[in-house]
Amino acid sequence: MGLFDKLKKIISKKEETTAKETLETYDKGLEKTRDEFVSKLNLLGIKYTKVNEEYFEELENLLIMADIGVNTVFKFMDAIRARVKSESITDTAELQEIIVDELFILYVNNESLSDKINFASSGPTVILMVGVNGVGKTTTIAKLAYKYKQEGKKVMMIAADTFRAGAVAQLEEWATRTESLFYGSENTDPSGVIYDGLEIAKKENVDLVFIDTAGRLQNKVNLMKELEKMNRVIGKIIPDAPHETLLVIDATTGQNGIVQAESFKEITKITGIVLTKLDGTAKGGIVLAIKENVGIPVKFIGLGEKMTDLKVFDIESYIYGLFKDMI
Amino acid sequence: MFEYMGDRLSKAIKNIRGMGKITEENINDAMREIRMALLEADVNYQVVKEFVNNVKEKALGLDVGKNLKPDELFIKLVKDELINLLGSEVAPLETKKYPTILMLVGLQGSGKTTTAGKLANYLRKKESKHPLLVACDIYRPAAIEQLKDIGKSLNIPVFEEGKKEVVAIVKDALEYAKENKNDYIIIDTAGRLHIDENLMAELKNIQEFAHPDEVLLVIDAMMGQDAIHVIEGFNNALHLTGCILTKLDGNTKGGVALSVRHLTNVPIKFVGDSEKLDGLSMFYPERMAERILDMGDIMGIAEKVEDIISETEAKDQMKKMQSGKYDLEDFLTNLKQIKKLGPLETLLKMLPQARKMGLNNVQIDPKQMAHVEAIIQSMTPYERKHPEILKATRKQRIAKGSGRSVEEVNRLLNQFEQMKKMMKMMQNGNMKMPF
Repeated sequence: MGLFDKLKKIISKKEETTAKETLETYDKGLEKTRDEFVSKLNLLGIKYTKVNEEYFEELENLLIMADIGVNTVFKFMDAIRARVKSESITDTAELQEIIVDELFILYVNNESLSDKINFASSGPTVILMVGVNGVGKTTTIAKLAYKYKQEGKKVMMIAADTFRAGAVAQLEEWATRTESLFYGSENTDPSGVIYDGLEIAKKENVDLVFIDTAGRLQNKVNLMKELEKMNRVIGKIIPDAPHETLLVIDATTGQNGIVQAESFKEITKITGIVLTKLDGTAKGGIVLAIKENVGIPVKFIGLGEKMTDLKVFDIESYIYGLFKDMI
Repeated sequence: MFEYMGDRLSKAIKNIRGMGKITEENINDAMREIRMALLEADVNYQVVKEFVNNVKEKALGLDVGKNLKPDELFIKLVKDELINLLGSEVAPLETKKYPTILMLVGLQGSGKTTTAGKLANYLRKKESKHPLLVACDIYRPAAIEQLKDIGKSLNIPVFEEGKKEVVAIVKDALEYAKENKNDYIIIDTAGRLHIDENLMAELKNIQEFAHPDEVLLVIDAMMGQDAIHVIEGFNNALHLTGCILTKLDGNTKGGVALSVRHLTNVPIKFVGDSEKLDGLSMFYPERMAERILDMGDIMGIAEKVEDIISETEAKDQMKKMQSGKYDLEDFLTNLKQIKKLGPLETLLKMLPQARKMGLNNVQIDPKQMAHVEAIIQSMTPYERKHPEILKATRKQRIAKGSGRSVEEVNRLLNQFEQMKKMMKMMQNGNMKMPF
């Protein structure tokens, strides 16, 4: 029972301060999310002491309500049913452990996942932020910039969202607040802005460049082509760049999240997902479906509005956050 | 029209075709597909469950007459029940007092500021009103600038006082509106979580002070199952009068619409369906039902076309097409009109059976349309009326003028000839768009 034992160990060994800190933020940020989910799962355990069809149906409901994705849930339910049968499980308490275990297996899928940022061996590391409208790309850049500033990096922001009213001003204000370098101009070709911006980044010996792009719905051909062009321009000025292309997804997103991930992946090499707005009641379960269907791992999660509320994603802590009260 | 369903659903329904009556057995597949379709559209799990049970019960009670096709009867039932759930009637804006105050609330990133601009534009364009936009998002960096930019591009006044306390801003805005005779006041508020008590209290303060005619929740159509918590959270605190569903121009099904109406009884009043500032339409339950069931939206297309082309213009065009007098000049005019309709992909997607014909993911390169335009524009007016005079040298000149190749010019001319033939064939009143 790999994960479950690990979780229990983490809980009992609270003297490990770094681990504890991470867990505490996860804990706080996911509080609302977890309260809902876990209390329901517990209720389920009280309501049904024996595993039967009704129990399965309510479990399915719970997982779908977490936005884990219809097909993923059905597949997951099949796996649970199979284990219940082969291991002759009748007690729901025992099954709860298996549920957590299987969720973990589903996400990890025998891969070694890296949540690290791929830094350039020399010269500026370029991180391109993409996503649909209103998911929190600009705010996420601010939080990432803050994080790497704290680590002593020289950070720059390039405002390539030349479309939305006020977008450039918004990023510029974040650059001022985080004391990052800034380049951007309104109503111009975003690729042009990137070109000029990256030239400056090279001259200024910047360590880390964040490029903010306009929100684009994945079915808008023009805007997706524009993204392709941006990618070409970036690669022309800094070979191997962008080193990371992060797709920002709102935790409240439903089934469309899978389509978003698929479409963006077709156009540009998405290296990871940033899951934002997890401090609400949304569970962001769609990332499990995205990982399963599209194979993109989550790298960061947003757990609040403060600068320090962006955390490196850790699947164990995530599931721990969802299930803590149950253990 | 009932064959316009989504693929899987129509396959499942075939089972019922030709059956003498509807039994639990022969609708089982169809019910399962409907359940999947609704869950994949992010309709709330409870709502799906109730809906499926309800439809099943009613379907079994259906009296299949001798002349009726049970599959059509069944689909009509599903659609009617969906429309029922969606509210069956169009809900217009309330206007209890003068000036009418509309307050927009919602989560971060749902599209409040853009929607505020669209709403103002809608009221001015469709109802000849004089709206005032009020910037009350004092938290997000540059939110006020964003609203000011939108106001500037629409030439609609925006009232702002920087990061002052919001009730004070609203108070001053009301004064300003009085002086300037604005009949609608649209308050844009900051995005917030429904569980953030401090920020929810701020909204309550505005509400208690200004008594808005409408408190509208702006909600992202891509939202998943959490939507119900958000809607209930805002509704419990503020007693919402309506919802505006945004980002429907994406390829999301927008099942959240069903959950909103069924679980809270809050009507959906508008939908945002393009990034442009005229991309706001009234919410029609029937169209939404068709979208969720993948049945296309002919009405929506008709309305978009009406906005651009007048009826007389359309009739003149028809006459020309039928008499074979349609020339490249007319074609160019039509091309420009189509461009005004917005992205072609959006239009194609609204066609019934779009999914079946693979049109829902069709990618049209706007450059290609620009090339066609360039070629026609490189012809003389006489050539456009009489393309038959175009021979090698003229074609070469046109190719050079438009920066395209002679092959492309030829291809265009061939396609145009074929189109004319098709138009003539359609004479018998069977009007279809040639595109």
